[in-house]
Amino acid sequence: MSGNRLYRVEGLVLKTSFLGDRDVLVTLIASDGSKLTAMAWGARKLTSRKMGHIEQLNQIDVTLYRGRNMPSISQVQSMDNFQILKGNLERLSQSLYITELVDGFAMEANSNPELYTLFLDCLHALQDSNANHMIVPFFQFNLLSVCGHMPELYRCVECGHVLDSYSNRFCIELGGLLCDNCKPELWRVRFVNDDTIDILRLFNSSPNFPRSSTTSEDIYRELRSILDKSIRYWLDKDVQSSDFMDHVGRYSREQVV
Amino acid sequence: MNDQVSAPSPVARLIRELNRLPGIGIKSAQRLAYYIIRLPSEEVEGIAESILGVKDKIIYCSVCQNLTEVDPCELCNDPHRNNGIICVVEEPLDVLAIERAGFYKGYYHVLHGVVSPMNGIGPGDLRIKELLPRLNNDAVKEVILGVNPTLEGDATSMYIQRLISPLGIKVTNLARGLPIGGQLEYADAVTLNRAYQGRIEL
Ligand SMILES: [Zn+2]
Ligand SMILES: [Zn+2]
Repeated sequence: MSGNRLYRVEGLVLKTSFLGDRDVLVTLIASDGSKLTAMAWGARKLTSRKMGHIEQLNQIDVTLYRGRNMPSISQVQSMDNFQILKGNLERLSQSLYITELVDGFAMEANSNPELYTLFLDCLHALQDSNANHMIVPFFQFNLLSVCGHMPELYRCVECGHVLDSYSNRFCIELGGLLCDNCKPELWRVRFVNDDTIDILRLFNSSPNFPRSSTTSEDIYRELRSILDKSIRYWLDKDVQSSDFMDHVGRYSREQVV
Repeated sequence: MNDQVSAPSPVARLIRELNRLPGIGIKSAQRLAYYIIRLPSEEVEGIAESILGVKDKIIYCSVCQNLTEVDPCELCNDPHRNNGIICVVEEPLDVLAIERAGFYKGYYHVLHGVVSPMNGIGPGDLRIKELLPRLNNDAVKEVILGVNPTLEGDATSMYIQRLISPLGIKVTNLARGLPIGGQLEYADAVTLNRAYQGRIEL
């Protein structure tokens, strides 16, 4: 057995839950993209230095002590606590939504560094003054990609033929566009606008989060609908925080108009 | 779980019910159950009655949403309080804490929780909409948001602030910062920053 029971991890806090009056269970995604849960003993005591650091959405540098069942947090230091983002209701609601998605897709003992980078980049994008309503769909698309479920946009998902420019039928369950000859009977096929497909292809070719958005409300809704449903399909459960995000977002857009 | 199976069924049921209470693990539930079994019958009846009485007699105050036996509650019925201020808190226990401190003379509004989007708890699950009719008169000059300084508490505060702001009523937050008796060196950067933001002139 290895003699060194202390090890150091960089990560982002996905969620925390209180155990009794003193202790906190912290779930984080480590920089290698794996999910881990650690115990912060005594973190809720007034003299503890841990509580402020282990808040949800914090990027932390943490020293863990290998325990029999679960690691415990020996030391923790926040590297970034995303104060701007947390002080803005709309961005906070979006951050909590993407956090729930990362929590759903990340797995214990399964490294996926791209997932961590995507999450961190997205929080930075939401923290930025150019934050706009395309950040969430861009994140959704790339989340599907880094988790191996990227929507197929160039070849028919059924027969593999290269698609024509007028192939506008999308199937969530098969995970992409269909050519005109393929009519899968088992699955529902939906018509998608050219503009929506263009945005998805742009997402696929762009390495950076969009810094502006000029999409119409209809196209935005269609884009979100496809991505929401794809995520729902792969995650195989409802995303709780989407209602709050959409509720807050709708209100904000109405205020602007 | 094996202990439960081996216990006689009324005992197993009691353990199971106690285990559902917040903060009561299976070991504590077992200890409580065997304590109850050893109590004299009158005492057990007293406990059972008090639990049933809570459900029968306690209602939500139609004004502040706090738990009460009479509606409106005693606090809402007190004419000597300042009707220009409403303090919004998460739980009935928070009202007790502020009352115990004795400095606050305004009225309260109890939300019964905070928004917790990842757990599916949205504004509609809290008693937020009951607050708005209380602000539709000229009496209320200030709403104090006294929810806990957590991420979800902050989200709740921002949400309520956004609802209230069109009404032109002053909205304040309780100051966050250093605990009395705490030490500066133990404070994290966020706490220090908030204490700095909320500093007051002496
Ligand atoms: Zn085909
Ligand atoms: Zn009342």
